[in-house]
Amino acid sequence: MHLNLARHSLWNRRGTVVLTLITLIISVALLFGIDHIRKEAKNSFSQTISGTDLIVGARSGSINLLLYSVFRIGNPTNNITWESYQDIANHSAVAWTIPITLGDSHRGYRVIGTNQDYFEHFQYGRRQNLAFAEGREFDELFDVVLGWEVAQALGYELGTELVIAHGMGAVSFVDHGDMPFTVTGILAPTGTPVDQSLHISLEAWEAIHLGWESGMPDPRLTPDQEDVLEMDMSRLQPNELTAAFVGVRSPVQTFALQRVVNNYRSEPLQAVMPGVALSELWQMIGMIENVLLLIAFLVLIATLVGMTTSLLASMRERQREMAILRALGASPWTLVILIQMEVLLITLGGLLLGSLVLWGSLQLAQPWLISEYGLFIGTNIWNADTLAYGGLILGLALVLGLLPSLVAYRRALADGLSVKL
Amino acid sequence: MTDNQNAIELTDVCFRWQRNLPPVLSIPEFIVPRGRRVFLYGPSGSGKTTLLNLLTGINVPQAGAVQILDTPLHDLSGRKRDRFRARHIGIIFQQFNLIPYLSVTDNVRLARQLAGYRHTPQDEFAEIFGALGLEEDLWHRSSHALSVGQQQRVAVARALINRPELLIADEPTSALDSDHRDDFLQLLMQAATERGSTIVFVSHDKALQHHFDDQLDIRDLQGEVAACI
Repeated sequence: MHLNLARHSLWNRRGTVVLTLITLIISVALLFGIDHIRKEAKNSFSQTISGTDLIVGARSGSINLLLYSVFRIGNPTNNITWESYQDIANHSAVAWTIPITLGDSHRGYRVIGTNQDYFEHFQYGRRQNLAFAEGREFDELFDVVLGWEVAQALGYELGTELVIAHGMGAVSFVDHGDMPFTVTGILAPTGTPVDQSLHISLEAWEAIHLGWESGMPDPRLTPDQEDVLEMDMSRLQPNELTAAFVGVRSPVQTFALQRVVNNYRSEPLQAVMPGVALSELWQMIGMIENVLLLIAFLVLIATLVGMTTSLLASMRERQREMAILRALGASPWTLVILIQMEVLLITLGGLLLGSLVLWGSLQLAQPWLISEYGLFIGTNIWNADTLAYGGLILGLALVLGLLPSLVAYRRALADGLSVKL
Repeated sequence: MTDNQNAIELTDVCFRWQRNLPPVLSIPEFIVPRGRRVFLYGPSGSGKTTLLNLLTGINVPQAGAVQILDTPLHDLSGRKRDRFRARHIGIIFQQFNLIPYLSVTDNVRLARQLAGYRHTPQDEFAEIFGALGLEEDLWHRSSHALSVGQQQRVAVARALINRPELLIADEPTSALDSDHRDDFLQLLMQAATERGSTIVFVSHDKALQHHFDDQLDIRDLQGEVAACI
């Protein structure tokens, strides 16, 4: 009976109720959305690299090194020499290394110079290795392996020829047009920045930069592609690298090796543990994330106060209704229950529709987030936490709903059958 | 409820809204025997609504006894008075009697539900609607789609659906034009009498008083009550 009355009463005032509901839907979607995205982003971030014990690069900051080597955000401050790299790679504690060279791009996607070890040792997620969707590793000098997203976004297939641009801009004025590459492999999707990268061999990297020592191509020094193919491979030995991923033989050696790298004499190097750097990064982002969550909560409270206000305002025009219910034998508590039932219905509606709206928006935004930011955001927003938030919101709404309810209660006792119009 | 033949018995009743205000009502005695049809005349400001609040158990007096249908309302808790009102007293207001967002039938059903009856046989509705001349095509209409006269008849149907021993009407004819007034009053009296209800009809329009067994002026009920001084 109460439910039926509340339902009809709300329908009777549907104009204001719908507006209240819309504000509630927005703030619920906002709160759930921020909470969901921060969790998913954290998850997505921590899944980006695994199995790598140390990242070695030029000395800067650990977060900086992590950002440019793993996330391909920002630019390396300095390079490390090939000799230092060899030294570390040959250290007795080291099981494997992956050399990384960065700095060029193709239509906004970053190009990585590396070797076959990348495909063998690089791991992401729960220690998953990279897999090929199509084709194979680079083998010839001018072979390129694409990340999944690059192939999808640019419509490249095996055998497609492409030209690498010098520098990182989406639009580049100088490119390596004289030495086109051929796609030989496309990696399966990983949900990490690997999807947005192009992979070439270190030798190819060296080859396209022959004669670029000044930073610009010198026509007298740049060889033809055919000549390069006939060169002795030792001439294409790189002098410098951007960073290296290192795996140790036994986890206990990680700290010892880190110390060796950090104290390396001939050049300033640093080694960071990806897990530590990730959590440092997350601490920084965590601040912002907490502020966002706080704002979302404040918006929600403002919305609930708004709902209370509109209910309070409606109590005036509903005096007649309340007097009739009293005359028919409804107790003052019945009126309280009736109004709380309305609060319950609006809030439940807001929670349900708000999470549906969020779910729908995530469905729509998911492909875009993956392609633009390499963030994989799942669309399942319903979990124990959302349930707890939902309960909290419901509780808050009912506490605030006591205000109009108690007004109804007091009027019921004071006014009785008379209605002051 | 058998030995006493009075529907209403007020004794030495004193009521004031606040302790330091003068009493609104001070009634040494007011008795209405069962089955009587009483016309209670009261100009505005004479304490009419306050008296109705006492008779229906919405308020209790600070002193004195309010005995309705042999039930001492002044001794009952608020919840019990509400339940008593739902079951035994029907009330009709001047106008705007109906919950606007409920249909005609749902308005009447509400009175049944608030009295604690879970189910209402369809012929109960049909009987009371028929007695008040409400055509079947009105039964499921929304309340605000009715004319004022129809609304007032639905209000009577709702007040009588629980077969209350006491029917209290607070100027239900004031919104009707004079042609409909007598017809409406006759329907009301007939339906209430068929159901054995005692009627207390409050009005400031003395032109209606000839329909009733007794005519009283609310100001004549007032008198000195010891507890009130």
